[in-house]
Amino acid sequence: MNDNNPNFNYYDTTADIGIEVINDNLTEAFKNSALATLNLITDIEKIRPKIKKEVNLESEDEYGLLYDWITELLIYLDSERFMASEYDISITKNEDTYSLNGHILGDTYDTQIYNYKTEVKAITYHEMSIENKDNTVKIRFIVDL
Amino acid sequence: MVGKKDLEKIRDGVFEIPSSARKDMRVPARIYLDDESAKTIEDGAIKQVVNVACLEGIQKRSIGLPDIHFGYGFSIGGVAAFAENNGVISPGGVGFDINCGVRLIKTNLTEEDIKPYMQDLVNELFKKIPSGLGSKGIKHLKETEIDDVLINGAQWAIENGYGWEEDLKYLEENGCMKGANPERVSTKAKRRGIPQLGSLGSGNHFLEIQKIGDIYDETIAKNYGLEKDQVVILIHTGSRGCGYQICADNLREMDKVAKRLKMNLPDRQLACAPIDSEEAQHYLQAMACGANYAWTNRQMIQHWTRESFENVLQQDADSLGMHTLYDVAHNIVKREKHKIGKINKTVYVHRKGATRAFGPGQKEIPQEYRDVGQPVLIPGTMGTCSYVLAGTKEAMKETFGSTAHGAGRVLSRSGAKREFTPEEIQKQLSDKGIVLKANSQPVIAEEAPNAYKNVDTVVKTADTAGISKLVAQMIPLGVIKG
Repeated sequence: MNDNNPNFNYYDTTADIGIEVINDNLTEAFKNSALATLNLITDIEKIRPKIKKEVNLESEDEYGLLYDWITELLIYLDSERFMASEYDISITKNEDTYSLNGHILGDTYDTQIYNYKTEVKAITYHEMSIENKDNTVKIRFIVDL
Repeated sequence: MVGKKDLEKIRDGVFEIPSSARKDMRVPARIYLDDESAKTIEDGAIKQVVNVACLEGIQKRSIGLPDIHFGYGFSIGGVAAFAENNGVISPGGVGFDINCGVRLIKTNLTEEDIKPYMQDLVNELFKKIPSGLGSKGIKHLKETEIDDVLINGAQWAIENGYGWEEDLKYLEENGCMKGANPERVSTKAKRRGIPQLGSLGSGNHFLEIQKIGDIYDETIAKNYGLEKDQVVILIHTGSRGCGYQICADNLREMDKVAKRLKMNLPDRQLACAPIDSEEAQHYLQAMACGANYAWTNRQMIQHWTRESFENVLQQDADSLGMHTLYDVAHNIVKREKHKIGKINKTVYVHRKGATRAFGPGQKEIPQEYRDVGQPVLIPGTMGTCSYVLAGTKEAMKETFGSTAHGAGRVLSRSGAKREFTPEEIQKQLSDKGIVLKANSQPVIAEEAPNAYKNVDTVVKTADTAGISKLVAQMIPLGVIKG
């Protein structure tokens, strides 16, 4: 569910912007990574959780899954103008893949209701890092604006 | 770490890092810079040009242009050519916004003619041309129609009433890259692209009404049909979500190849595949689709630009002389022939934030321009000058016929927002008499002119180094920003 005090930070890169999240598990860290990305586009906490969509993703590793997860949310925005602010998801480690399943909730982006900050083109692999040890997950990645 | 300290000056505007600087370099790294920029360039950007110099099959040199800045994997403002027989293809060497590019439309108007109508023109353009977040195009494509756009590019737009047949003559590749195969484009990329066809987007994309300022080369300006005080319109946009997704999908695939072939890549974002591999061929077919989408997009925007001028000035676009000067792609990979030593070799030239700058005599250039070299369009940033240059023989010898593409960012977006307020920037522009209309207030601050390297320096360096020739300056009068 949406955290009222989402735990993410931005850091500077010359052309674009970096995102850092620290949580005690991978699922929460993925949720905050998504909130941090979409919060660059609009004030994400204002997006009402009115519409529900199902997500099912499977990738070869955590890095691929993060890439696919953020990409999925950007696809929803461009193709359906749908922006999700709450995520009821779980991440499972399978034998040789990782999967993310669950629901996302949000609203159709409407310029009359929601503000607009900047466009996010894509997530990049550049300097992406996912550290998972001692019950702390730290994710860093750069998005292309 | 390899950095500024390793730059060796070759001549004015040209520096090089020899291939001995790092043991994995296959060729030298050459960077086109003025002396001042050589002292301030980010080491990260230099490292990226060096990293590219390590890729399999790279020819002659890895190139950084005067507007170079730190990107992902490849720097932005970079060129690399790979031999057809043993080279690689890298989606990161093109970038997310496939065929992001610039189109310049001429008019037979002067500033004086349009001065009384400036606000109306800007309002009309802003109303007619969708821009901003997830901006939707006006044409509602059917799922089946998108494939025609991806295959036929600007030709599709002309057939559907967006523009004049003659426009095609003045687009790189005539607005249609061959080999495009929509089967290689994922449903996701198509879904992102369908609603956005015919939209400007956001960020650094813009449309500007400009007037010609200084002319540096009368003969070439005349050849291009440009004269002092003439009003022109510059469109800067690309392939929108469709292109971003094509790049994202293929980076994923190439990442798997790099793992499978145990390529020892200095950076995961450099993911690439041998040219003859299935993955590389699929990417090229998909990238051509993205490029065609972008040419269609700019073609539609050009059509609405003509309509906007017609509506406000109550005169038809033809009698206003609204002909296309040229359209250049600055994020693309192309199969070209270049002289490597004494041999004419087929190479795949990756231009990421780089403009093709083919010199006189090249058959790829429209007949009218062939004696003087192709027009090179270098946009400035919001409120600063843009430039027309011409391709040169020097560029053919040195940079695989390439030059800079713009100003190049020097200040991060958040840094720009800390330093400037949107109101300040708006006032600065209006003090200069520039009319601005934008969707996003934060974008105005992020795109503040001072967040970028001075474009005047960029074009001067390109001219000094000889990789393109200054022709004319363009001064902004009205800006539409996403």
